[in-house]
Amino acid sequence: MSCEELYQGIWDTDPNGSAKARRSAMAELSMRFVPHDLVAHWRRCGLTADFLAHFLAYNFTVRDTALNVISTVLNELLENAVKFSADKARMISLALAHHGDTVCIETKNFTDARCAASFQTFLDRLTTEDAEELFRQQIEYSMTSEPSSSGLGLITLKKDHQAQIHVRIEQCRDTGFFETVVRVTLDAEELDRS
Amino acid sequence: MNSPNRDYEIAYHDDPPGATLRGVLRLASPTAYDEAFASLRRRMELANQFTIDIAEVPFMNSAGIMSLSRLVLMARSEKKTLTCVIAENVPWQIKTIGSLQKLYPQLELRRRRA
Repeated sequence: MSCEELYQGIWDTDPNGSAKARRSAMAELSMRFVPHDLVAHWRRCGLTADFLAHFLAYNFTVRDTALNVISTVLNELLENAVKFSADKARMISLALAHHGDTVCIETKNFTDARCAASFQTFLDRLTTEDAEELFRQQIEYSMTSEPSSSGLGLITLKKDHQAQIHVRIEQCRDTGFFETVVRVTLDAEELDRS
Repeated sequence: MNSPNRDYEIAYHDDPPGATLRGVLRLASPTAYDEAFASLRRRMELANQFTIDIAEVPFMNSAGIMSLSRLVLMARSEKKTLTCVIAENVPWQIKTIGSLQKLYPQLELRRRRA
């Protein structure tokens, strides 16, 4: 798929981008944004996260808890997609689907080579190191330096909400930007129990 | 809230020294939190013991959690008695703020219902 192609049908692919059988969803929604609009009024990130969380929370028994967790996850992912968009005029997308046993949330944005490389380094740590220990290290590290990104949001999603995190980073041939797709999968039962 | 441009407020009290945060803290950057927490930090620096009540904060983004964590580390480096009041019904508070005790085992966590 060309990077210039409009956002479409993320649920027809697995996190690696290969085609798969489509699963029917109990609720499904997607949105596209110009990062500039969210940078200009940052509260639009939270507003969007809250709206989508309310939308999905009707499917849960412990509605307040599910709403709080889903909004937290959505907001972190959307904020990251905006912050790490190299060209703030280039569309980003956000989609979510409730498949009964899971809730999937996915963002897509375009970043530069430096951010893509540092994100990949961070992801290597996130997948191999203990999340609790990584959380502690990133906070201790922040006292001695000002890291451009601590990754604390993704760490807490994994550590506190048992989120499965899949990322695909792929360089666009036409623009040189790196298409970054982050998919977070939450256990629906866990959301009703948190 | 105390300003139409803010989704949160911070109320300070002197006896015992502390601050109560209310509302949504999803500021755009660590710098924005430095400004928001400047007065809180100054008050903490002057007190030997301090209480931060975040029970009425339903949402805080990761930049906010980082800034709050840095206040906990400041308390640790100056050996202050720090108490954090959290909500027993807000998932991120129980889980994420609970992890801050690993950074500073003397951090006291008190739970209440928001």
